[in-house]
Amino acid sequence: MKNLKMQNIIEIKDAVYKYDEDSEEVLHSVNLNIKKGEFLCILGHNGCGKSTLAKLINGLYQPTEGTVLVQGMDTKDENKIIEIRSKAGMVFQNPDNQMVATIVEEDVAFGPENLSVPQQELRARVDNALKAVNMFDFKNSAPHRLSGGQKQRIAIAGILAMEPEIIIMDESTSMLDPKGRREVLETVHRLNKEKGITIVFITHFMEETVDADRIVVMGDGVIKMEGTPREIFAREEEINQLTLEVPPVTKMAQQLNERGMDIKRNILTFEELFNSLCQLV
Amino acid sequence: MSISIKKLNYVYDADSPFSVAALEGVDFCVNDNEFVCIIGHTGSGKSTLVQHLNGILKPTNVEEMIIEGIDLTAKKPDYKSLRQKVGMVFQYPEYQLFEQTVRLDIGFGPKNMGLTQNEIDERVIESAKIVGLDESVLEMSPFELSGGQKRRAAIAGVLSMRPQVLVLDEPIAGLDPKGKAEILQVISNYHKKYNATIIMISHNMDDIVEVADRVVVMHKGKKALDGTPQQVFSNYETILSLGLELPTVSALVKRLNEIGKNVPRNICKINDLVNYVSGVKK
Repeated sequence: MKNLKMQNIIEIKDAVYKYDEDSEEVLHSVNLNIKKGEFLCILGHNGCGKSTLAKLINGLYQPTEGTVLVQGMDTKDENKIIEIRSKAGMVFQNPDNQMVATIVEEDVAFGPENLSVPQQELRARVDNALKAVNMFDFKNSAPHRLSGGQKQRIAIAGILAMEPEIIIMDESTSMLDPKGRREVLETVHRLNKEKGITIVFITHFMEETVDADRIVVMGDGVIKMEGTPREIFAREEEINQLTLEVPPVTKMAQQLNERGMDIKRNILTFEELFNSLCQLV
Repeated sequence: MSISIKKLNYVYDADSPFSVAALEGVDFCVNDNEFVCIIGHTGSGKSTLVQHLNGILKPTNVEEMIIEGIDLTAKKPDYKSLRQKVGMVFQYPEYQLFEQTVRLDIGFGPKNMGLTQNEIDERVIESAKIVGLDESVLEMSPFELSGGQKRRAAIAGVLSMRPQVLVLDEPIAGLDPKGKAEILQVISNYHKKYNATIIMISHNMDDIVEVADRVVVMHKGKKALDGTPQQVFSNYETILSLGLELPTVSALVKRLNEIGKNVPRNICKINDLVNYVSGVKK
């Protein structure tokens, strides 16, 4: 287990959000602290408020009530908003909606260029960012020639080039094929471990959350559950009530268990399931 | 036989320096009421193949191509009736909703088929029921619906033409687990109730093994494998060498065999594994 410092990088206090005055609240009084260097997953069915929460973190939305602090900066403070966004970068769902340039390296340079990073440093930042996501060989490619997973990695590189503290992945794997999903997930885990970047990873795919430090489950605009992956997926009934599912290997272990087999119900990974099966056949 | 295609070739941008052979000599035959899943890497030709099934793409050349009795190698194939018999649900079909109300959107196909208003109404209600949309949403704008509802409305718009062949290109992409299970159920209901032939492109091997009668694996414009899920997914070496994933159960069985446990390689469904393991235990 990684040793997380006590320092909070994000503090969300009693955050309420509604789109306009007359509409209903999308988030009701959410409290959440995220530690520096943490890998946090946010789960929840469609419409539960998880994307809204993500957009509060980098100041795309400001809370209707309550406060959101990013490295101590209030997202309501207009003077800080540019700094907040350069510290908390966001990768969205659709890889085709976030490419702005016709050449990969120009796309990666777009963010830092707008932060007025000097030319020489810009070159180094773009190259390093592309290397960090294993896409350096594609720096002169046209984005439309890339796969979905490759495009999402370019989007991540575009954030890295701004030297962020936090990367928010808002269902960034949902439109990708299994290979693309794996590439993106491995990339963010590596950046989390090697560079200590805090990751907020929003997803529908339960199996993508098993290596997270912590999972937060949203439902009806509030936080319904919170804990390590093993703690969360042991609470099957609550998970089902929230119309979510446990990861496929956990489900399989539970089915075997229900057939009277000696297999634990809280299995999370393929390796664990394999090891238990070895004892049985 | 629902679909009989022999030696299908398709080249994109044929007369330009950028020409790409997307399909090369593909044979694709499907029986009536069969549930076929097509898998393959991005760029393997699977979408190109299914777009031939209702005449969106026309073959560069083909030896034989008969779909639901319509000969597409004829001089003037009857595309209109082909497109009524073969319903196509594209990726992210909710992007194609366009009418003012859900009712009008679902009824658009039947209206163009020249049905009477009564028949159209009947089909709209029936289709909404198949996809599990409440009648109360029919008067709403499609854009007021949630993501999962939009997807269901879009699929209802295709089902309302009662296609004999339903083609779906990654119908469950981007949905949460509940939405995914609902859409798979809709497809399965339509398959059974109307004896329809289903052709589905998907990346999700664990779902495919549960629903498919047959699995076709595409690779670089050619058919790499074709058989029952058991036949296809027991061919671990080929599946993995094509950069595809095995269903979780097959992956477990493969590993068990590697450490010398003698588990039949063709086990790929959860139920089969459970049955096998409980049998061993007894």
